Amino acid sequence: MITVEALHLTYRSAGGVHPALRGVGISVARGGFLALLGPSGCGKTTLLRSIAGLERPESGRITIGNVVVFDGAAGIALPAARRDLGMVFQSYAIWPHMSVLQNAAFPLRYRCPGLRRQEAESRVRDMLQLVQLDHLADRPAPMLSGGQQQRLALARALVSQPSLLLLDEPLSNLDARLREEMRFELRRITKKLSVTTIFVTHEQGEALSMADEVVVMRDGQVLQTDAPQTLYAAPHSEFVADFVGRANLLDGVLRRRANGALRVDTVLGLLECQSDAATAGDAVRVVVRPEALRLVEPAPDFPAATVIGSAFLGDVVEYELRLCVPGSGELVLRAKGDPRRLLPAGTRVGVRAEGACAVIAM
Amino acid sequence: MIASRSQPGLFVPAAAMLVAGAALLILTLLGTTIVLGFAREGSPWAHYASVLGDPRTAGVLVNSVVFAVVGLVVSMAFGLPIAWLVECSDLPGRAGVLGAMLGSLLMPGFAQAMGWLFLLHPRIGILNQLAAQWLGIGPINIASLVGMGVVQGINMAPLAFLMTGAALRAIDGSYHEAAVTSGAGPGAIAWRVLLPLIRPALSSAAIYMLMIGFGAFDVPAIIGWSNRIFTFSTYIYLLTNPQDVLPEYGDAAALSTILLVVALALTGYSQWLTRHGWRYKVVTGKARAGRPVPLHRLRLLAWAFIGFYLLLGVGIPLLVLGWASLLPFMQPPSARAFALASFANYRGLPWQLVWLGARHTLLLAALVPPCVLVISFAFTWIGHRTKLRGRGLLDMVAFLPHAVPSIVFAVGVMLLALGGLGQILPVYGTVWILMIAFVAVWLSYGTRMTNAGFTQIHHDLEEAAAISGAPVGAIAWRIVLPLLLRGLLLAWIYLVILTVRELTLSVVLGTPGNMTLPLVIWSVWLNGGLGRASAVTICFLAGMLPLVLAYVWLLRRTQGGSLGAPGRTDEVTA
Repeated sequence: MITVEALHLTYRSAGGVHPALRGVGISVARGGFLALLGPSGCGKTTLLRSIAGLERPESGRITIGNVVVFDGAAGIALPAARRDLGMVFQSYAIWPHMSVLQNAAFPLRYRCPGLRRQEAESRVRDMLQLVQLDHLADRPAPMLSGGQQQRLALARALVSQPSLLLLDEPLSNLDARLREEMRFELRRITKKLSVTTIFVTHEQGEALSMADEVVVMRDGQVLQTDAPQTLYAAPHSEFVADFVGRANLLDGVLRRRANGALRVDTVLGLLECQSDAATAGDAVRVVVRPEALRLVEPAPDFPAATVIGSAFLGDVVEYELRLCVPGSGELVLRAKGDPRRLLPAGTRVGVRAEGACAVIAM
Repeated sequence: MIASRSQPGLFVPAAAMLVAGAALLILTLLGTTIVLGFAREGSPWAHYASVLGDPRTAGVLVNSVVFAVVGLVVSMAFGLPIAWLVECSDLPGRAGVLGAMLGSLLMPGFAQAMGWLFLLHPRIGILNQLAAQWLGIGPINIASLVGMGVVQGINMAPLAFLMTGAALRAIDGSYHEAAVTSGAGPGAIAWRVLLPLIRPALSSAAIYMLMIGFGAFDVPAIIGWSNRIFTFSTYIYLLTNPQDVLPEYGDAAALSTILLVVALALTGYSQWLTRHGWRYKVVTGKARAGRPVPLHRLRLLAWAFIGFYLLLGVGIPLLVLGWASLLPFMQPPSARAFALASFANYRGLPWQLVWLGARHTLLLAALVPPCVLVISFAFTWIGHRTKLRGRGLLDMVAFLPHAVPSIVFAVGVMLLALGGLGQILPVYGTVWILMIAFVAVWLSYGTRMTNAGFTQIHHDLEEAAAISGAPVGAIAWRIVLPLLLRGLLLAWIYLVILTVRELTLSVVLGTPGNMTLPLVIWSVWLNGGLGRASAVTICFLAGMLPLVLAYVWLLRRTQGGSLGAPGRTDEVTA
C-alpha cells in the first residue's frame, strides 16, 4: 500500500519558476499495478522521482507501507537509500564496470546487509532466472542488448524484495516488437512477486494494457484515476478522452426518453449515452470513439460524409471523414473500417453511430 | 537533487575540508603576491612606480607580446592544418599521426630550445657555420625575439593541434554533409562552414596559447637569457635572482600582479567566448562523425607537411642534442668532428648532482599526481554532487592556477615561504615546497579532468545506486570512481610527465638542497657546460620515453585526442 497526498513541488531555476506538481494525490493497493499517464512535462516522472526520494517536494505526504517516507509539514524526508523500493530507470542505468551478476547483486549489499553469502547468491540467481538472464550472469554488462539491459535493470530493482517497484518509461527505448513482449513480461513478473508497482508512461496503449488502474496527469495535476476500461469508456474531460485513445468530440443536447433512458441529440442523430452529472435539456459534449462509427451506403437515414484520407494499418483502416453539418459548416470525424475493402478518397458514405457514448458535462 | 545528500557520513565533510584547504592555499599564494606588490613604507605604489618607471619594463612588455604572437602564429600554422588532416580527411595512418603529435606534446620546451640554439646560434649554430662555410651567407639568428617565438610556436603546435582538433571533432558530420549536398566544394566548406563553426573554440584556443607564450619560461630562459633578451617570466626571475644586487621582491611582486591581472582578463574573455560558442551547440559532447574528405594526390603533400613538423619539433632537436652531447664544443659534422666525438661529456657529468636531482624528481613524480587527483576528485564532488554554498566559487579558485602564469605562482610560493608562513612551516629549500607548488598549480588541470569525467557519467547510474540503498561514500567508491578510472589513469601519467619536466616553478623555488633533474640541466647549461647539459638532457629524455609511450598508448586505446576524457561511460549510457 502506498499513498501520496497533496504533493507540491516547484522547480526554480534561472529560467524562472515552474510548478511541476500541484497538489497530487494517488494511492495504490498492495500488489496493485498503477500507471501514471500523461504528455511530457505533465509531472509524472517528477512524481515518481519524489516517491523514490530523488526529488524533494515542498509539501505533502508520501507513505510506503506503514512508513511515512516524506512529510513536508513534519520535516520528514527519508533519503532514497532508506526507502523500501526498487526502480528501473528509463536509461536502465546498468553499471558498465560490473558484470550482470554484480549489477543484480548490488542492492543486496546495502538493502539486506545481514544476508549470508550463499543465500544472497541463490537469490540473485533466482532473480536472473526469472528475467531469463541466468545464462549471461558472468557477461560484462555493456555487452548486453537493450532488451537484456532492461531485464537486468528489472532484476536489480527486485532482488532485495522491495515492497514497491517504480518503473520510469521502461519500454520507451525498446523496438516495437520487444516492447509488446515486455508488456506481458513485466505484468507477469510483478504479479508473480505481487509487488506494488508504479509505472510512468506517455503511451496510452501501455497504460491501458498493463495497469490495474491509470492516473492521467496534466500540468502537475491528476485529471482522472480509473481502471483502464472505465477510463476509456467514460473519460471525465476532453483532454482525457483525446489522450486515451482517439475521440470524436461532438456537441449535443441531453434528452430523456419515455422509458427513462438518456439520449443525446447530435449531428449524428440521437445517440445512446450514460451520465450521472447532467440532466435533460443540458448542452453537453460527447465522446464518440472511432470504432463506434460504422460506414454504410449513403442513405437518407444517416448523415452523409466524404472520405478525405485513410491509413491502412493491417487489421483495420482508419478514415478521416468530412461531415457537412447544415447550418454550422464542416466537421472532421475519425472512423474505423473493414481492411478488406478500402474506400478511396472522395467516396461518399453514410455514418452510423453504434453503442453508448460518454458524456462530458460542460 | 538526490535527497540522500543530506545523509550524514564522513565522505562529504572530509571532501569539503580538503577542498577548502586547497582553495585557501591557492588564494593565499596569489594574495601574497598582490599584497607584497604594495610597498610597506612610503607610497604603497612605490614598487609599481619603480617597475613601470624602469625603461626595461616597457622593453620586456614589447618583447613578451612579440614573442607570444609569433609563437601563436607558428603554432596555429602547424597545429590547425594537421588537426584538419587528422579529424576531417582520409589521410592513411591518422591514428599514428595523432600518437606522434601527442608524443611531441610531451617534449620539454627546454630540450627543443637547446637543440635549436645549437642549430641556429649566430656563432656556434651548426647550420649557420655551414651556411657561412659553403654559401657565404650571414647567420639566421635564433637568439632573437622572432627566433625564440618560432621555437615557442613549434613547442606549442601539438597543443594547438589538440585544441582545434577537439573543436573539429565536435562538429556534427551532418553540417558537412549538408554543405556537400548544397553543392559546396571542399574549400568553400572549410571556409564558410567549418571555420565559422569552430571560431569560438579557435579564439579561445588562441587566447590560451597567447597566455602560455606570455608566461613561458623554458624557451626564453634557454635561448634569451645568455643573450640578454628578456620576456616577462625571465625578467621576473631576474628580479628575484639577480647576479649582482639584492633581490627586488617587491618589484617582482608588482610585476607579477600586473601579469596576473592581464592573464585573468584574458581568461575571462576566453571563457566568455567559449560560453558564447556553446550557445551555437557546436561544442556538444557527441557528434556523428562525418565522411572524411578524400585527399587523392594531395596525400603526399599532407604527409610531407606532418613529417616536416615532426622533424622540427622532435627529430632535429633530438639529433642535434645527441650530436652536441658527444662533442667537446659545437661544430658541424665532419671527419674531424667524428674523430673528436666521445662519451666524455657523459663521464664528466656531475653525477652526484644528477642523482640528487633524479631522486627529487622521482619523489615528486610519485607524490604529486595522487595528491592532485584526490583533491581534484573532492573538488568535483563538492561542485557537482552537493548543494554546498559557494561551490561554484570553489571551482573557479581551482581553475585560477590555469589562468595564472607559473612564474607568478612561483613568486607567490617563494614570498610566502620566505615570509610569515616560513616560520610555521619551514619548507623553503626542501623538496616539499616544490610539492606544494606543483599540487596547487596542477589542480586546475586535475579538476578539469575530473569535471569532464563526471559530466560523462549518466546521473542515473548514481541514482540507481542510491535506490539500491548505497550511502554517498559507497556511491563515490563503487560507482563513480571505477567509471572515472581510465580517465584518472591518463591524467595520472600526464601529471607524472608534467612533474618530471617542470622547470619554471623549480627554477624560482630551487636551492642547492632541492634540485630537480630539469633544474640540474639548467644549472649545468648556465655554467657553460653545453655539451654536458646536452648529455644530461639526452639521459633525461631517455628516462621519460617509457612514460610518453605509456601515455600515448593508453590515450589511443581510450579514445582519440582529448586529453584523457574517460571513454567508457558514454558508450553505455547513450
